[in-house]
Amino acid sequence: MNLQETPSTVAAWARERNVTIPILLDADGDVSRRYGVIATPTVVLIDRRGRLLGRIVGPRDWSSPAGQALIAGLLAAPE
Amino acid sequence: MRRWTLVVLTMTSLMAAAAGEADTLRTDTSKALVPIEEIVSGGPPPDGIPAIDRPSFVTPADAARWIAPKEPVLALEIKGDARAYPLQILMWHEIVNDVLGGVPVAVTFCPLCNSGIVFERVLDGTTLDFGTSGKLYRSDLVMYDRQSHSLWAQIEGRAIVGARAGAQLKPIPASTLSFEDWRTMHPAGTVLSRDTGHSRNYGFNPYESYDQPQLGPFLFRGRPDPRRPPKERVVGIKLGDTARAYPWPVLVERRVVHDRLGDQALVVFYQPGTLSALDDREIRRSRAVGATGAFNRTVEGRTLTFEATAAGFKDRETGSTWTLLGHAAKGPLAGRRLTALPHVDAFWFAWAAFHPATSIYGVATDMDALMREFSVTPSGLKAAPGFSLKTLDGKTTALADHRGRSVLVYFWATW
Repeated sequence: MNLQETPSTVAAWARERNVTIPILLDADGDVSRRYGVIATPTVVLIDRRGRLLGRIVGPRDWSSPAGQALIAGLLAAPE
Repeated sequence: MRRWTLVVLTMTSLMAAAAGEADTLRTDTSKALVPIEEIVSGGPPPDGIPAIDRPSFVTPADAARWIAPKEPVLALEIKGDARAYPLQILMWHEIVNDVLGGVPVAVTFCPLCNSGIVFERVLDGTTLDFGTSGKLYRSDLVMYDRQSHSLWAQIEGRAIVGARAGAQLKPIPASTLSFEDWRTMHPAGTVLSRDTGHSRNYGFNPYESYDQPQLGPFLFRGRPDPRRPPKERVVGIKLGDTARAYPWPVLVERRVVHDRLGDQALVVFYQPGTLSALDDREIRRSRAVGATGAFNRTVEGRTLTFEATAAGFKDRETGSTWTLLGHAAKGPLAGRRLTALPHVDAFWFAWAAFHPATSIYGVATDMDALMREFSVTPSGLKAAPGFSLKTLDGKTTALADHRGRSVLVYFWATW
């Protein structure tokens, strides 16, 4: 979810990096405010029932074994 | 303190001398595939835990005098020659250099990883024989071959240091099961004798209470993979580059698991009753943990599905009954065999240490452990604030659209 940048800036950035995952535009910053985001990047994990699982502030190595295991764990989590 | 050191040194030299093998290894350490400082001393010197080089065998009736019916044996069959290697003996030797059905094999057991594995010990036409190096790598038995003194990681069957670094031994399917179950399936088989040429406390387990699932491993560097409890037993199967762990608690509950790994349709059997070798001080008094088998489930072009029965297993297609070792005992398929897959019953930490990309069959992941590992701050499971926003490609996405799926929201900016 991009924070308050113009669609053209975001599109250029995504094109340059071949980013294909869905990018949401928080144009007025309302959603980020309600999620208490005060720094980027911030990652929020939400479970299958729409509940807040956890939050990560600051960069992380998502390709590390722990990062990969976490993503695999989210995908494998039961209903 | 000084005196104590001297006593230890004297004892270790005696042990090495008694084994009559290498007291120091001449390993070419310039060829190493793993950081050499991660290969640590387990205590004993090379061959301090003596491999059995001239195994002798007894009949099941003779063995029954000293082995309890439910005690675990590592069972191997090559070209109709069936042998059982009791863990009460393997525990003290860790390697048997044997020849079975004309095939030179190394029958190995690492107590710290609870891994019984058999390898063909022929490499490029040369027959190797193996000893224990006294070292551990990620808690796993490090073997050495007496021809080149290369060091081999037992779970992988791969040379990790020395002239043969990178060489891979071929695993041969073998199963750990109770003596009495094995005996019923192989009444004419033979059992490794306690007459090994060494005096050891056979029947006793020097690693008392080692297999408690939550306890950490011994001499393991770093943190064990947090996805499962460190000493939970798993069936580990590797086909090509794909590794998968089947946790025993899942097998205990289902008894039969059908799965597809790589291009193979496989089945994993579980049968209760077999005792742990790593629980009580006396193996015969240990708790029952059960036994497993892993097979390709295609027989003569037909893929079978199985269910557990009181005595074993039954396929739904023909109603034939099957044993834990994959032999059809009765019914239309009587006499047929399932093709066994090399698999290891190991502790989770050990399987994961050598197969970090392993997937896990059929269990919910312990998300709390994963979140701790990746330094995620828990949010207390409050309802996530709803939202509905335009996406870059002009659509609208709402959080509510993703109910029933896990969601990761990455708040970011290009600056």
